[in-house]
Amino acid sequence: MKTKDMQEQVAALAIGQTLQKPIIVAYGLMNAGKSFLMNMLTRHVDTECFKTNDVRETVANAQFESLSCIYVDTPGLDANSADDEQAQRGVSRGDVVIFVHQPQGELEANEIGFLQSLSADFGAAAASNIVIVLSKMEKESAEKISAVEARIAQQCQDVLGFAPRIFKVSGKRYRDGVLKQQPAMIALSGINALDACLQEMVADVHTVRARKRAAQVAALVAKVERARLKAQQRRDGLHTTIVDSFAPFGEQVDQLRHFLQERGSLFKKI
Amino acid sequence: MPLPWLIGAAVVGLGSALVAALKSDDKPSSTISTAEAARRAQEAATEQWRKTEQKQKKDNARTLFAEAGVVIGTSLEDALHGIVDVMSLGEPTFTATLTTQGYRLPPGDPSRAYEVGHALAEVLPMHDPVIARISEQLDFYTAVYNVHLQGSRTLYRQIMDIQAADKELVTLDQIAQQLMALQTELGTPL
Repeated sequence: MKTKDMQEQVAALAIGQTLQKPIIVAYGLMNAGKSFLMNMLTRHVDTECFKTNDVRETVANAQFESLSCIYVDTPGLDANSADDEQAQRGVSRGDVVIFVHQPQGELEANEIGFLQSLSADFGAAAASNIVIVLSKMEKESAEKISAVEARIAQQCQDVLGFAPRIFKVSGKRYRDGVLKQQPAMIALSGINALDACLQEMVADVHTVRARKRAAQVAALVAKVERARLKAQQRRDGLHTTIVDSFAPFGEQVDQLRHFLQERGSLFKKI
Repeated sequence: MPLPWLIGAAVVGLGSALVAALKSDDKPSSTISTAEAARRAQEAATEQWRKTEQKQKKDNARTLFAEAGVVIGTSLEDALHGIVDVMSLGEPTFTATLTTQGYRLPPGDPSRAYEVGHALAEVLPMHDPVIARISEQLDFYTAVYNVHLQGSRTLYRQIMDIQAADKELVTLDQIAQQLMALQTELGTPL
């Protein structure tokens, strides 16, 4: 991490977010279904508040402010480093993070890496502030989704040390249910259950933020110390290089002094 | 180096003077006077020879001294290659001279090594004995040789890198202080 990034991060931490509404962030790989999920959670059923597409659509953090919350959609991870940085900035603001995964299979190695980083960011508050959403569940069989859910829970337990809450949702079912006015379909979509859980999670936002800030500050302290050590070593190395490069000259000057003294003494005796 | 021709000439001169004295006066007092004159003449000749020989020895020593000084100067310039650019200010490059007191240097000109010393002082603590010694050595070099010193591009790049590291360390210290304040605010000292 560059010094400038650390400055920005510490400035953001200093400002805090105590006066803002709770922030819910969607995070995950490209085309995991983050934007569509956020549209459903913010009740944008027939209009797109968050742009969706099969190609890489979200390239900057997008947000929507409801009466009670701020919803942030982040660029898909692993598309490119600039998008990853954007997503990282977005997720660092979140009080609650929804990690969106397409249930075609278990978590991939890169997703586990992002989850580890996210968990470290939350510190002790990670278990209660990260949820995993298996999106687009209408595309897979119930058996397969259940198997994937169990496998992901195990992966998280193994890698993160806890199993976050996992929600199986279908934004498409929710939208169809709303448009066709079919409450059963809406219920089956899992969107409302997820929303209820999110509202519950953000209720105690100040405590969550304080915990998260404490973890972020601790992580940043460690980063600053490492950077300081590295800069000091670099400086010491350059100092040594300069001093060493003058060493042969110093020896030559000593010889010159000796030469002058010796010849001067001999001359006096002539 | 002995000069036999000079001694020979003195002896011949002495002989001629002695013969002339014997021819003109056979008295004993005259003989003593003639012997004294001969002795003085021999002493004068010997002294003359000694002075000539000493002058030649000194001239030789000065020549060898200047030649060796130039050779050492080349080695010094080589030793600074890559870190300090050495620019000759004219002949003679080696300015030390031998005197009856030993050796003498012309009055020093601190400006000749100033740029390098100043550049080093920008980033390295001058109270550091190693750095103070380098600076003194550079001054001594420019006192003995008619040269002007300037830091090389490599040296200035290293100095700029040190300045950048120093700046980063200051910024990191500021960040660390801000983080300590935040930890106090959050009540989570580490």
